[in-house]
Amino acid sequence: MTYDTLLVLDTIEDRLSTQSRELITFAAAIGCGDNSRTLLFLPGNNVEAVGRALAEETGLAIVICRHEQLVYPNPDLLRLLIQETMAEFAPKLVCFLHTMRNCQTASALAVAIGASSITAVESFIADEHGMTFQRSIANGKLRQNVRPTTTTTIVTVLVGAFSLPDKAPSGRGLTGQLYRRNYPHIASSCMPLEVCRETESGARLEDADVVIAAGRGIGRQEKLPLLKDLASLFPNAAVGASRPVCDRKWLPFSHQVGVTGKTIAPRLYMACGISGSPQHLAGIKGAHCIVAINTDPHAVIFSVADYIVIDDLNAFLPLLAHKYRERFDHE
Amino acid sequence: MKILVCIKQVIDTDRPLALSPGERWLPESGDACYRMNSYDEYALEEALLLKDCIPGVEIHALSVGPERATRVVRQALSKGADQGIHLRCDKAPLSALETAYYITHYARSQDFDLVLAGVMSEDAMQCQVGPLLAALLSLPCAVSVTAVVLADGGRITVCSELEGMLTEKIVLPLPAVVTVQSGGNIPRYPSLSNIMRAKEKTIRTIDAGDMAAAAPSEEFLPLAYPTAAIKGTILTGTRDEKAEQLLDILHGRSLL
Repeated sequence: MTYDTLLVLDTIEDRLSTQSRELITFAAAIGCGDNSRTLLFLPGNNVEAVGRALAEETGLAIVICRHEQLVYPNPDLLRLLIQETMAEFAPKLVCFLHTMRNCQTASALAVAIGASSITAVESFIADEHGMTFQRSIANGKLRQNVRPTTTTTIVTVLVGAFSLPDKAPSGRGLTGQLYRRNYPHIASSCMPLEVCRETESGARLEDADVVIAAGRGIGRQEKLPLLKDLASLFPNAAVGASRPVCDRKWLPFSHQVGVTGKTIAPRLYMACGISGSPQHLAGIKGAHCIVAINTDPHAVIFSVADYIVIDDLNAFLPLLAHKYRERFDHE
Repeated sequence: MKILVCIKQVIDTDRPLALSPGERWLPESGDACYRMNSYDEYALEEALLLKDCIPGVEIHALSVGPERATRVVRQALSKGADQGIHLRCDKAPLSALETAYYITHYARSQDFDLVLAGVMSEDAMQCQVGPLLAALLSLPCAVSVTAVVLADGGRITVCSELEGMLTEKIVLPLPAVVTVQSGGNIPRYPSLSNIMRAKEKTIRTIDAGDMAAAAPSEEFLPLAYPTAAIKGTILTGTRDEKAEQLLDILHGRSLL
């Protein structure tokens, strides 16, 4: 049996990453709604139950690949295991979710089998020339179109670019074929020891109704009180930040919003001086209302904002707080 | 201990980027528009931190790119790198594989214990050159690392950042390739004495044209501006009016 597309799912400590399922939507879009030639690849130490549930739920064929060294992510080992699976099922397209770890696996696989590897894919065009994959460059300011010229193509798909599939698939009600594979003779020289969860407390971003977020555009750490003051006007608000702000130690990493930080869905997200990298935008997809304040009229964040203020936040934020207090005092 | 640090010169993405029709890469701009890729600054700093605490560390800073790329190599020297190498290549865009292929040529000519690179470049955002290098050199690799610690028995322990606030601790045998994520250290400013010393150092230039190139595995089509148009409402008027409008909106949506 062969398949056209292999979707590599992510697990940590044998738990499936929810966002991995977005790959199923991506593959369905490529197959014009038909995923019958799509094969899932589920790596882990003990993922039998997860795999069976997934085959039942999605109706898709699945390789349950067990290896005791796969409790924690190990791209080096994963690459070798995928290669074995590819030799058996001959897929022409291998898809990962776009994570740093998966880029490593994709790169190693590309060198090993002579495939093209295209990362952080957001969309695609299928025409008479074949597939063209679209991705952002220059922090989201421009779009690059890349066409693979190899027989086999590997892509990593940006988190949030495709939605999660519906829970009940198109009423087929069939359980997907299960392939159980063990490759105990394959080992890796990289030894993951443990995975730690960020324990730093303080920013309760996930629970906040309103998040006032700082980007590099605030210019200096000394400007943060402007945001904190504004946050104090809302009943349940917190101050968030883009990655560059945390990198500069202006705020602890517990405040970071985005793929490498927290994914949040507040009622209001106010982005102050945030340009809007794809990684940041993926973290605020669920926000109900986005207000963006930026001096740059071309800021990418404006493409997702509900309300746009092109202005200097150093002047605008204090004025907004002042006007609020003025109104409040009068009422 | 010999460390190779791969550095890319990138265009300042905060600037407006004007495209000419049909361009396949960012248009060539004035010298002032370019700087060191910030992730590579973190990679260089990680190498310098190792040099600070381990005797006998030698750092080679290498950049692939056109003539102007020598500026970031010079900058690395002024921060404390020992050798500067410029792999001259005018082709743009280079695929991640092409870049990695050129660096591999140089890396093979030396015995590096550790190869460091930024986790990605700010312009191409591919996150691939580091792991491709590892694959081409058949070396173990860890990506998105925020701390490198030398361990016993010719090994390193690294903290590698996973998405969603998770960190993985990994042990790797040396030689190895490690890509560095931002935020794990604070890149230093060069001292005046180091700047002066760096000015006298010779940067070795190797013409990429003299090296075997990677067979292309993808074709880059003309760039475009993102299609996502503004869907929201742009608040207009004076600053006062905009603030009033925003308060009205927030109030109307029961957010205030």
